[in-house]
Amino acid sequence: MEKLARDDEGQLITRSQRGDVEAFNRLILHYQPIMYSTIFRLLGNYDSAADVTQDAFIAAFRAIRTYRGGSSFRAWLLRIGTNMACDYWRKVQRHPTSSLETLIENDEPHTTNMLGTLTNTNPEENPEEKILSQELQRLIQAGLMQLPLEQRNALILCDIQGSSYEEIAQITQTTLGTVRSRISRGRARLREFLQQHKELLPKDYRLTNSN
Amino acid sequence: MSYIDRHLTTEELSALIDQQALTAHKLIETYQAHIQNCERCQRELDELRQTVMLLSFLPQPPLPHSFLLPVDTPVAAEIKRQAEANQNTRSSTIIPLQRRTKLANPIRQTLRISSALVAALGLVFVLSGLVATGTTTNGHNGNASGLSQSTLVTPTTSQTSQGQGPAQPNVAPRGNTTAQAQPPDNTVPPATVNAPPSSATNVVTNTNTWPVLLFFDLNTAAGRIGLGILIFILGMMGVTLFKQRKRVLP
Repeated sequence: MEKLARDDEGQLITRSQRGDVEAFNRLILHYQPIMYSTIFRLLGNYDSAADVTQDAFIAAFRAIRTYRGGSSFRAWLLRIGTNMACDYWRKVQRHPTSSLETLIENDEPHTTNMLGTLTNTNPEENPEEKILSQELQRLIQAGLMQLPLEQRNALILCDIQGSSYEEIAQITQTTLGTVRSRISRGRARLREFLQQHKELLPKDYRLTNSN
Repeated sequence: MSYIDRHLTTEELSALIDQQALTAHKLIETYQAHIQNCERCQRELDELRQTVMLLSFLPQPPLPHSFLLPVDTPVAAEIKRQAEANQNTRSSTIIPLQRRTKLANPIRQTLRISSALVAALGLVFVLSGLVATGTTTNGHNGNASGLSQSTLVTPTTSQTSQGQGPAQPNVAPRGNTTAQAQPPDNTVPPATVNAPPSSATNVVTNTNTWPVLLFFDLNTAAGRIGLGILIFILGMMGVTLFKQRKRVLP
């Protein structure tokens, strides 16, 4: 992913605030992988994640004049994205007609595609990256989905997207203490969930086998 | 280096994984010293590390399509309009708006402050009524309230006026009558309270110098409290009213 210099980002934001779509599209190009990935991990469904991500970028463009640079632009964008994903999740939970199970079942065709992408990943480009099996990915995603929304959000931002506690506090608009507590609780619950499905974990990833 | 004589909590273990969360370096050393000697905490930490590792190895999902916005998106036109409108507002309309608010604000503010003062006056009346009740109750060993005080006054006044002329129903003359009967003495020494009944009635009549306003006899505690409550309510209504108007006006 091409890196965006801080000055460039500032200029693109200023141009976007004057209604320059091309400038905002350059920001989208840079941030769409992390935005989509975060929203997908929160919702567990590719189609819904795509819709929410698109809506989030439109909402961000509409609100870009309110961005004052108090927090990083990435945190500002992720706040919009995660808020919209959380709203979507709550809305789906309130309406049993479109239940969450159906939402997750819809994954199947896309997961196969994702596996194809995974196997195509060149380990030489990133030799430290380990590729998880499809089953394991599903298991972890299922573990994430059984977490309370706030804990899931904090865990995704911290352990998947690599955000710092301070950035998570900015994104979720909470205190550092709350972030710390949500992350630790989320990890503990996910660990319990994975222990219940130990047999599905490959030998290399069995819990209690530290590297 | 201090040593922790208990198992570490999940939050402490989790914070140990993300060392950024621990501000005190000594704390990290203390935790690590404990973990080296505690098998249970060591196992728990390993499991948590494994969980974090699994999450970090999750690949980014492939993008289903690009999320770029079309160049002719209506949102862009909307933002441009807002930007232009904002610029125009900054350059021309801010000063007249300020002038208008400057003119309107003092009147509203004065009315609001006046209402607040009226409410405060009401409170003073209520408090004075309450104090009078308390004083009277103490002075008469709990037998006389504000209301009973007024019942005491009437016969005394009629007795006094019987001696000097025709009875007058108004309160102001009552005070005058008393002033003629007894020299004015506002300070009541404790000895006066325990004095014979004739002097006690005189003391009571000395306080009857307030007029009757509306239906409230200000010589009685009940009258003062009633008037005070009425004034307080009116004052608060004024405060609320002028506050609401301020919100409605631009």
